[in-house]
Amino acid sequence: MSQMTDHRLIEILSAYGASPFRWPEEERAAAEALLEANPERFADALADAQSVDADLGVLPAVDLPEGLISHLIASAPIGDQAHAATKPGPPRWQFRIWASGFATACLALGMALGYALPVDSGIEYDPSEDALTYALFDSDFTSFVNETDG
Amino acid sequence: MLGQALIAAGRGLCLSEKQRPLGRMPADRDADQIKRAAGGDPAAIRAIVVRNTAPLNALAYRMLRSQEDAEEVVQETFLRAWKALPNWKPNAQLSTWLHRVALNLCYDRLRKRREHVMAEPPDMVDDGPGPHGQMERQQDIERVHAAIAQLPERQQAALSLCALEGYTNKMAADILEISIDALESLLSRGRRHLRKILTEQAGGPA
Repeated sequence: MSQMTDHRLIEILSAYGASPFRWPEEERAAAEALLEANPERFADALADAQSVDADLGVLPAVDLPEGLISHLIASAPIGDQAHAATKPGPPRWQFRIWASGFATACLALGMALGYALPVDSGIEYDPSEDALTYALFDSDFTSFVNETDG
Repeated sequence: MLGQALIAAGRGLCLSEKQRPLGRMPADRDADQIKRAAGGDPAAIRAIVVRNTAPLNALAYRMLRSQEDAEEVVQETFLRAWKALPNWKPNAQLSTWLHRVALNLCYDRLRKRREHVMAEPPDMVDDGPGPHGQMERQQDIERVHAAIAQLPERQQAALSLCALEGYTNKMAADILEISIDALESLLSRGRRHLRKILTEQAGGPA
């Protein structure tokens, strides 16, 4: 039987209530023995514990709703569903090989198209646009006119 | 004599063995059942559901005081379990893990309830008009429910597990992920706090 002190018995009553069945199993016998040997010493602590026990005791047991168990079983992935859910996908290294192959193929296609197609963009160069730009921002406009006229 | 009488009175308040939550399952049997359930074995799935549904539902109901909310929590808990089982690592018993998930879902719901300041209290069991004694009993239940609802979440959880559902201190401490000393402290403060609230409600000294 474990050693029981007054202080520990009061702690037990305060935490677990007055019912010895709720007390820690390994301390139960010693606590009951101490309480039986000195009832007056613990009467207040026991009365407090019983008062709270009585309040909690008015609460009924919780009923299990009908159909809940069947519903929960139905929600589980059973048989092939579980295998499908847990079947591992392709390994990561396979994905990496596919991704790098796809990127290389895209690059090669882009380079081939770049070499094969004509360079002409279809936009004609208009030197008068340069003249206008210089007129706005260059102070030595005359030298520019001479340059462009040749 | 007085001691014996008081102990006998205390015993009368205990839950019957039938109402007590199930004990622990041996670790190897737990692991085997989880493995089979993860593989889709209907018998293993059924065993896990049958074993855990009533305690989870009771805990969720104690915390939320609404059967509808409790059922939703239990359903969400099992959905998470089905997802987790294929990669299960035996760091905890499955039942302990399920209780932790359910409890966290309850905490989330309690927080959401507090955020939406409720004009009305959550649904209570209403047996309708009945004999006077039955109405009084219903009022007592609602009075205690309302008092428990005022406790901090962790105190509510500790009291629900140990005082109302009869879990051992070791199981309750595992579920709450605290030491037994910390559990006892939560229980003592919870019981003291509850007594104070109920005494004040009754108009007595705090």
